[in-house]
Amino acid sequence: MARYQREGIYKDLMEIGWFKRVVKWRGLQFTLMATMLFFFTIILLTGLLGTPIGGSNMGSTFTWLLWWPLIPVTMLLGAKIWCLMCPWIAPAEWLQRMSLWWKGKRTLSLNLKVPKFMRNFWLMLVLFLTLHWADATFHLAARPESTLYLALTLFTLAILVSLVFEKRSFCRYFCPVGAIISPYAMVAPIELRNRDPEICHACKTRDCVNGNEKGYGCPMMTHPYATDRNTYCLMCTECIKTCPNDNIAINIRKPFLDIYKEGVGFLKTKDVSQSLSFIIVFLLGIVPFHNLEMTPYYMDFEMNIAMGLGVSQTVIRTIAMISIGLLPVGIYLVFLLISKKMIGNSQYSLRSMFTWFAMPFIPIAIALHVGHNYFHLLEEGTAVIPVLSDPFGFGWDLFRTAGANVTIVPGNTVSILQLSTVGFGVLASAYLLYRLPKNMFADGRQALRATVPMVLLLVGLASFYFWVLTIPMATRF
Amino acid sequence: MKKIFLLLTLLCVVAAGGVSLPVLAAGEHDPIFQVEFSSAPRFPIVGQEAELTFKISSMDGNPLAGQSVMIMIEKKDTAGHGHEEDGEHEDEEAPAGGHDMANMGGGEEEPPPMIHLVPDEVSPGVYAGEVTFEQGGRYIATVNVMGEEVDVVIGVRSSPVAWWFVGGLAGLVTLLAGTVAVTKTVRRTW
Repeated sequence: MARYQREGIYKDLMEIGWFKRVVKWRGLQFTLMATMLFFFTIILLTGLLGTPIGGSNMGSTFTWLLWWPLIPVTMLLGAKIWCLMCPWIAPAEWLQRMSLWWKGKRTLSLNLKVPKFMRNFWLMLVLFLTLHWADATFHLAARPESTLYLALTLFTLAILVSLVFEKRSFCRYFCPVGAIISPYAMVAPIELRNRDPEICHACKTRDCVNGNEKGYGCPMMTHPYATDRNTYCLMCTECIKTCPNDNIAINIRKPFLDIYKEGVGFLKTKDVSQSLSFIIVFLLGIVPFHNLEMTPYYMDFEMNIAMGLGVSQTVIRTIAMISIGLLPVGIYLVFLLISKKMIGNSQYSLRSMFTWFAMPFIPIAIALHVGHNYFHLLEEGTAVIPVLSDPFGFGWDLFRTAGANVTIVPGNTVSILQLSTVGFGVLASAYLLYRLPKNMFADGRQALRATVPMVLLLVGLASFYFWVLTIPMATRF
Repeated sequence: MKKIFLLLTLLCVVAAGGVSLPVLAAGEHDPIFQVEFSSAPRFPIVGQEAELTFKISSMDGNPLAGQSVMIMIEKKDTAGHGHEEDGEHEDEEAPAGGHDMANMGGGEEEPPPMIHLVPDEVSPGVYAGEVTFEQGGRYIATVNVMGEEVDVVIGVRSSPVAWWFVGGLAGLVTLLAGTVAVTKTVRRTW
């Protein structure tokens, strides 16, 4: 049988024998989730019983100096690989399925479908912003007990949603981290797709959707036989286990392929929605704001404005957060209008252009996010080494690192890494602004005219981001 | 004669260096005592009286009994700064209310006044006193004995564990899980 070869694919990892056996093993996801849940439980206990000094408590340091900064890094390299082992959903899913790793026959859930008006990314964006706001207002990072309460709230929310709605409705519509994971996953050099679409076309059982005795149907309510983007795929590998034709591949591929690839069809995919595009544009403002609010200049500004207006700093920060998030949306709309004017063609609505032209800005958004997190990981993150030996702050020294004062890289190196990462993000976005319009517009000149304002917007964003990164940030602890 | 003179000079220089270098390397001066801190509860809670215990001993471990001990407790949340433009990395103790993330936002509260504690000697070398903290966070207790000072870090909880919140979440989950189970049993939709 001739092997179907898709464009941009380097290697199908399922061709590697041991890898295939591991992926098809029913206990894979349970093992990973249980391991993460174990560490998560320790983190919860340190929040409950450990020192209230954030920088000396494993709960705070591991959550906000390791896990949170590593999220966008894992997305960049492994799509939604974190979701494969996410501990938040673990108890909820096990309770819902009434099983741990085996295929259960019953579910403890009403299995309702999420209402249609909620089947988008808006709620996730609101929850993500709420989390961000709570972090700044209640000092989640500096106060271990706040991290504890946040974690318990998310656990509970996941369980409640899973008891009412079907499958992984929490992951698809409620998870606050999903708001950033979903767009970022599209740039990753890995994907889970059907190997040969003709085989899927001929398949009558659609076990990847409905499940069978070997596993569950796709928990994200997608159709793996037709998935063409990483937006929703959790890499849970259920479809690999259930596919009767062994037709699901895990491909190493060209990065950014989800954004510009040929043959998808303009707006013919449901994996890209206006709400997702809104999140991308919103992130273009929120990420630099997160950087700015950790600088002394912003802290002074907020304090002075609050005192001048006679309101609390919380009010000022809330307004600033929403305004700076909406500002790029407004600017983006202006540039879109200019683009639309320049192409002089009403074939494409502003709405469709809003949805699609947001895609090329994903690389610069994730690049700034990763660049910002270099500071947390490489400078602040060394605090996890002494904390590892004394997770509760009781004065232990389990691994003889309690007194360690480690410097991974000098401060200058972090700056260089940040600027070069954002630089790479700018180049990637520029490349996508070259490739994507060629698939959007039949006429090359039309594509060029439409793209010019977007390139100018990219240059403006890049300048702003480079400036933001040069401002020294205060640490979390 | 000249050779003897040079040799003696060289010996003096070596001797002086041998004496002064360790002194220079030791810094200003070595502490003459050490402090082992504990409290009841383990981490003091805002608004609740906590017993702070300081076990003071000499560097060779002998308890320092009968000393006049003065302790000053001040809130000091760490405020580090990231890399500066010239690549330097500073870490400095910020006074409470200064520029650091932990003091942002609700950070409109005034820093609490310094606490002066004169503990009682409850047993040879063990000094204890009661303190009620007004704010949560990181405190530095400066223990002054015989004019020498040693710092001890004290972490203070903003509030006790909100068991009502934890219990409430657990109750909510149990209630909903039970409701779903009953519903599915009645409808026979397992």
